[in-house]
Amino acid sequence: MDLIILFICIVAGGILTSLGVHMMPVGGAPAAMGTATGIATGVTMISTGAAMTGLFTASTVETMTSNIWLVVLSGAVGSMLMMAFTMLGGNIIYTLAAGIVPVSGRVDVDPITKRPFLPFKTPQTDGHGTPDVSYISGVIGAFLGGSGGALIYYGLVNYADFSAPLAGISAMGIFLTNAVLSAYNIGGTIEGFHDPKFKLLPRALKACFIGSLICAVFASLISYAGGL
Amino acid sequence: MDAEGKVKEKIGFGWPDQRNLMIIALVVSVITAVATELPPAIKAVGLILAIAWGADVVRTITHYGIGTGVPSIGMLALGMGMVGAFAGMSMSGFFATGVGSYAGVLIGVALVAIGGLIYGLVAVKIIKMDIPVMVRGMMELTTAGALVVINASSMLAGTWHIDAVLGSVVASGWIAVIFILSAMGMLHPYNACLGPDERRGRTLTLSVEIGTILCMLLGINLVFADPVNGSLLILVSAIIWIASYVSFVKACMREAYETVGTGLIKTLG
Repeated sequence: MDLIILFICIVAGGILTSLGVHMMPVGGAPAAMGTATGIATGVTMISTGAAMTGLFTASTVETMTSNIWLVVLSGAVGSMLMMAFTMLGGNIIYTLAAGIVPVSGRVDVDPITKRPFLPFKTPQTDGHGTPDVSYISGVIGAFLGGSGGALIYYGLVNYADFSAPLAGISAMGIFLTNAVLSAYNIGGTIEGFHDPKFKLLPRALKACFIGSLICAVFASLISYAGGL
Repeated sequence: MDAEGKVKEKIGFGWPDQRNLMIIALVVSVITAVATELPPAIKAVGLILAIAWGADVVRTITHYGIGTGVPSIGMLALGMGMVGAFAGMSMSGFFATGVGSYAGVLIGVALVAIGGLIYGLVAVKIIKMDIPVMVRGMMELTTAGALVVINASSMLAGTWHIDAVLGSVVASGWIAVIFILSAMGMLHPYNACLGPDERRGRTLTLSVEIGTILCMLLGINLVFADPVNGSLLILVSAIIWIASYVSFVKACMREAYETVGTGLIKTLG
């Protein structure tokens, strides 16, 4: 029974990770020059950073309670805080230091707040900064990614009897493999759930299902053969 | 042609081609991983070779442009490789004594290679990445990652059996250092040397340099528990580090059109 729950935890965590990665607004190297919408780094790096923060909060809460919802939600909150502060910091630098307004390059009007983007977009660029819709999408993505990482951690600690450090580093490894597969699917840059690339999601979900199954087999081997 | 020959002659060390490097690195690092009685200074050679192998595969795959930046593939290699390495190390639970107790590494390597194969197939068939070397490259990358983790753990703990590794490598937090520095050794060289004038020898020299930094750090930890082996490890890796650093900087200075020193690091002219 424990084995089945472990598999469910890792596979569900992997799929949540994939969903979360698809919602992160990342622009890669062009964003560092202010010529693309999103955070100026790779999607793997930012989602790993968010998941690491989530793992810290989740593992802290895990020492006090074994309630799955509390652990998963605390991981999600840690990730959301990290993403929110990163996007806020980026936006402050873009608006106050570089003097450019956060606009999206994919849509003309913000789908949520209905603010116009077109008049503020610099010609020849693909948008800049993190506008409202990407910000909200990023926070939702961090919620999903963080809860995915925390779910993997919870499954490893409670159903595979991993020690906290081993579970932490293994959860990070499993998260990374899923995040990289999802990053390949979107080709490095995405603006959020309004981006046309978001429609490629189903094939990343399929890929991450298979990818996290392999990791789950490894984790159950460690637990069973290692006598943990 | 003449200029290329001159460069090789000046560095004085020709790298084997890609397939030979793979075979040499695989054989040497499997031997150093299986033979746990070897001194850490010799295991360091296997570790450095495995990192150089990984850097070479990263170079081959990212040549095609993967869209997410070079670092992601190094992180994938170590993320998958580390979990697979733990699975291989835990095989010591099945075979506690006898010849079987050496088989854990081989089982771990085989498991990780199968995992990497499935990952490569998923990336090509489902994600539809248009990279011909993806399947083989993923297999090699994850295997190299697992071998690096097993070698580094066995350098620190003296064995790769999971009970010893859990205490002195995982619980002490050294696994994080091993993880990020060996990922750095695979992903950073091509990321830094990337460009039209990228040369394979220079890229691999940089990966050797980062690998020796990891060995030196492991030696600094080891020297308190085992002064003789620890200091030997620091000595050997420091010598390789100085040699690779000097040859890398010299190669950069020679192959660049023009260089301007900041004065922060002594660049040896």
